[in-house]
Amino acid sequence: MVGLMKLALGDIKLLTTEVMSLTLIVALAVGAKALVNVVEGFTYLGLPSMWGYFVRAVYNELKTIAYLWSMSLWFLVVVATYLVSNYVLRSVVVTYATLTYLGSSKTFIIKLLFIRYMVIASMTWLVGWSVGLTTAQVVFRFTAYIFGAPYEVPYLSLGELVELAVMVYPLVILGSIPAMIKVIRCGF
Amino acid sequence: MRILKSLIPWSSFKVAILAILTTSIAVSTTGLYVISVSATLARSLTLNTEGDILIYSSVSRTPHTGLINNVVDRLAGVEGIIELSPEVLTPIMINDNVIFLRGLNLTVLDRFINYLLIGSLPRNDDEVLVGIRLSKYLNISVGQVLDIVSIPTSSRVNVTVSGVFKSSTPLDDEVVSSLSLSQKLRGVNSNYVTLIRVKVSSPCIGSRCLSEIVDRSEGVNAPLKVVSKVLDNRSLGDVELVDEFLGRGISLSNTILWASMLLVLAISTSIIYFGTLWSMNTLAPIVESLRSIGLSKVRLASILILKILVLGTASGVSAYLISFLILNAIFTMMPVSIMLHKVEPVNDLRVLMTSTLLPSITASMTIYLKIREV
Repeated sequence: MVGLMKLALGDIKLLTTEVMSLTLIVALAVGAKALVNVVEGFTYLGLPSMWGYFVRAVYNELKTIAYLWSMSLWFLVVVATYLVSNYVLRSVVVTYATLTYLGSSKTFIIKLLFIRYMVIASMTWLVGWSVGLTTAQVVFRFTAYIFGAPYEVPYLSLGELVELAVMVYPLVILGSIPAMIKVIRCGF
Repeated sequence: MRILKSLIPWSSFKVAILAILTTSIAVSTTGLYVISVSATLARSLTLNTEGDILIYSSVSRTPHTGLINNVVDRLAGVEGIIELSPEVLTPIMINDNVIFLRGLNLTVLDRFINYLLIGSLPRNDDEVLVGIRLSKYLNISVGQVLDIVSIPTSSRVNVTVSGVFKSSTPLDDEVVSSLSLSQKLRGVNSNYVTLIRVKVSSPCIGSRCLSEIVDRSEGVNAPLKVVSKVLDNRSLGDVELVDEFLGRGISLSNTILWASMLLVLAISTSIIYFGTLWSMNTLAPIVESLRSIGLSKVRLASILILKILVLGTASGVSAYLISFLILNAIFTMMPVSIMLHKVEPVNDLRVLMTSTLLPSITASMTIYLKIREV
């Protein structure tokens, strides 16, 4: 099992670099989302008079501003994750192709690819949201301290973590498809 | 040298370029976004009249909710002051839309702001002007009667639109009326205004001199604070609570905007580091071969850094242009506002420099560190 994992993952140093590049791109969007949640979660107590309309209008503007910024980053991250995923199998293409030449079955190669893909996607998701959320909390606390602003905690809901997984896994596999085809056909 | 350069193909930097381009776009988009929002917020008060002095309450959390004594009479006639314009900002509702009504001395408006007017200036408190953007948004035309509900007093008035104007400032999102109508809607008497706009003739007349004029006994070190103290801020029921809410909101949004910039810068630096490291790992066999045939580390590093600097600069500039176009499209398709004024994208050299230099420097440093290990 350990041997299979080693074969699937290849050089750990290379794998770390690849996973970290993908992870941090995802962390960018996660951090943005956590910061936007600060506005979403702001407690609006309500005002007895018509001033409430004014305060609500201003808060809705703040939400829109934060949301649109976050959306533009998400779009960027989706494109970047797909493009970078194109290269995540490159470092093992030679090894896998050699194995095919030496008579390994396609099922075995697909198994190796699947393990590598699962490890990369899982690490991207797990480390991505952890790094993104932690960075958002650190920079928000730092900035709030400088501006003397009320400290709210940037957070992510469970639903958002699931949404992130739904986005990351298919994006990584979509990006890896061209390299996968090459490996399976032994056409590196 | 040429052979050496061709031994290290541009294509080997694909991942690094993707990382640089991604982070440059993220930095540019965030930077331009933050600056556009901040600029709109500031311009909603200054109305592009840079050089003029604004006197407003520094005690209230936002200038929009503060009130000061109308000291125009005390300032009039002071040497160096050319023009004075007391203004009252009050939030109102028209057809369930919350907007600002700005009351001012209409006879001096053109001395502060250039504008094109369709129709005529209001002749009395029953007439108002409407900014071009607001008129399009709410489909308001000259001669139309507007049912205005004052948010501070909950009172309702009917006014006729005497004209529509275009000033190319945030004033285009507002309703403009006489000072007396705005004071009535704000629920204050003629002694109170939101701000006083002062046009001065020489640079020696600044906020420092004004603070001395308003109260010589308070010293000159904190002009605006001195002015606001002397001008006696007054609270009006819910206004303090609203001030607290808005102050909190503005402070929070300020923090989020700058935190977002810091977040993008911090994560971008790491993305470029790992992206470049990835490319360097791809290049490892070539780098080792070149070292084994005697190429010095300095020479090798300089070739690689030169390539990454060219790519980084090109990516930074392209990313800035892409970001500006993206923001333009966003602001056109989904208009966003801050304190009820439309945000417009602005160009900023600092953002261009950051989106170009940050990736280039980080990538170069990564290459240098990696080459040292070889």
